[in-house]
Amino acid sequence: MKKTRFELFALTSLTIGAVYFTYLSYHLPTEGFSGGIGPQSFPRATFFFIIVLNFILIARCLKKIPRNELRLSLIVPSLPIRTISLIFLIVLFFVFWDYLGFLLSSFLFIFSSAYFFAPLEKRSFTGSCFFALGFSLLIHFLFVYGFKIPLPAGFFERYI
Amino acid sequence: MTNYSLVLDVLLDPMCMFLTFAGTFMGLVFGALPGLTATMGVALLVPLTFSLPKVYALGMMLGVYVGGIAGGAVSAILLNIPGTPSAVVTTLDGYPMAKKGEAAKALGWAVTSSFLGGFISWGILVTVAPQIARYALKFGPPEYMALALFGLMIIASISAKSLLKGIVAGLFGLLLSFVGVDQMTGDLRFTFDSINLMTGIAIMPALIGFYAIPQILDTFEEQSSQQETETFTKKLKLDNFFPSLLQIWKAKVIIFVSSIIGTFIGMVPGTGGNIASFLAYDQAKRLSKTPDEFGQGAVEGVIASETANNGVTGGALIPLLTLGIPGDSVTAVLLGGLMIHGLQPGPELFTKFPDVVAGIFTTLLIANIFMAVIQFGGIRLFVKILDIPNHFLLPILIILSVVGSFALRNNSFDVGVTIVLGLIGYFMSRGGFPMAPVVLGVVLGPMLESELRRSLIMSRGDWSIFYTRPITLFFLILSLMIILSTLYRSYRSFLERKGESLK
Repeated sequence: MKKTRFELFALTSLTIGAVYFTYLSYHLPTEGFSGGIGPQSFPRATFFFIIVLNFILIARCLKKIPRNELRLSLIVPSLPIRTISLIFLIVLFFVFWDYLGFLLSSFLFIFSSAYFFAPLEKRSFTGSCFFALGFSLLIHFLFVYGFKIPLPAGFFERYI
Repeated sequence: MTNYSLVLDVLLDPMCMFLTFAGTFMGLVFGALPGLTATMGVALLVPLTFSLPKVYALGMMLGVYVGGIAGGAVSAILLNIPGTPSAVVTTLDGYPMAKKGEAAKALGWAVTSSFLGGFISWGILVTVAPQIARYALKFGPPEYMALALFGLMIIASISAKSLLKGIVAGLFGLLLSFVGVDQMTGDLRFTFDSINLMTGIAIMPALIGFYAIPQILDTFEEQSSQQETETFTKKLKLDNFFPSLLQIWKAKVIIFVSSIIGTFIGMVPGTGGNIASFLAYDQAKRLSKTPDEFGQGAVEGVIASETANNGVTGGALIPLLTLGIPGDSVTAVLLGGLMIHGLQPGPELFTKFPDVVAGIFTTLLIANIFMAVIQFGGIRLFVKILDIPNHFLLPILIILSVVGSFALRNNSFDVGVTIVLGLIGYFMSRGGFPMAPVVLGVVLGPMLESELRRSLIMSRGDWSIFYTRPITLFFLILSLMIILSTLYRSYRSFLERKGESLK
């Protein structure tokens, strides 16, 4: 049932997305100097196929669920709190990566992941701290000085 | 005789050997890290090699090229995260093998296949380069369109569990490829007034998003860190990872066919290792006596993918050296490197600079040997990655994914794209959608659309252009055969299921 929930969620989201993009594709220019094929043709055909195939897949999915268990909430997948927390941390890392800079944001991200997601018996504050600091510095030096690829410096910009 | 002495000059030059070794090592590191590609490695190296003698510089750049393509297999097999786009196909069977405790065996075969693919394409490069290059250059828009369509047909092969889901995933990849400026008319499509979306969704952030983020979240969710590490390392077999000559001999057909596919695709300008490995995988599955095992950890899948993507290295150099036309993105950068050193690729290169040509041929072979030696030496070290507890490994992978997608264009927007597509990919993969067709759609979508429209402009809207040119017709017939055989197989399995349910 868990997989069916994810399947239904993915299919419903894709279908809604495809319908919205089909609507947008009607605002694209339709000049067809290449045998009637314009900038709108490929997207429209693709969205049309996605919608049709998704309906077939949704119908197949619904057939697997007993009638008495059919309800709208089935399209909402349930995620464990650990996964939601990790997704939240990743999003936070991205949001702050430009402001805090790579070094600080990656240190905070690695530290929180390594500390809070470790099994209780293996959880170590100093270990996670040193690991986060070491790895952030390693990547920073490797990319910035080794590969000459600048990473966001954030408010460390004056010092690095 | 003169040529042999030129080759010996290169072979006996310790500095040249050292720089080729260093380049290969650097390439392997670039290949293994998601987001860093061989193209980027060579591009970074061009200014650094400016002051070096021509052969030294080219040896180093070719080392990065060979290493960069081969290195992608390491993270593809061990972590299910392809280090380079050409290693996407390696994940299909490499990671299931690692899960079964056969990581070292998969790596051993990946290295051997990469070496053999590189070696065979090198052989073709030094013997029949000019003749084949002329043939490959007959490719015009209709041929490219047919090749792209043929490539998309491979979705049928890589969607083992559900063909319909594979097609939807491929179409979703196509959808992503529409974002940006229309290549033919310059109109903006689905950019939502964002300047960043005008150039479209870059392949690398999409690849990292669809492979790295879902894999990380899946691993994180499904098993506790302790259990995961234990299951992986308990099953790990570290003996006999070096394939025997007999095993290599048994795989000769797949190796040969994949090398030829890799070399030929390498020669076709604008293609690359990713397309070659998809095509080779499809052919290997068709040639195999046990096609059902593909996707479940079949070593033939790893062999086909790795042989083909390294076969591209020699193939892509053929049009570059003989006609000055790069076969893929890495050779496009190499072309710049050659020109910086005052070399104009083309027929005159062979007559005016025989020492450089001998140097290129020799260092390419040497780079392949170094690649195999370094990788074989490192297998025991590479598999140690699996010993790292997940609460340390997963944040490292997320950081590498984020930095990798940023490094391509130094643009934080690409990081956002990686995360958003990663979350979409996570929900899709949990719903049973395969990720490889999405990547195939993103890679081949622009080629299919623009070349079809370009062909129709060429023919003034006459569709007969697609069946009056022999190469185009050949690929279209192949595509049709794949569709018919897939439909036939689906119909047969439907009848079998129906028969079983009636019993």
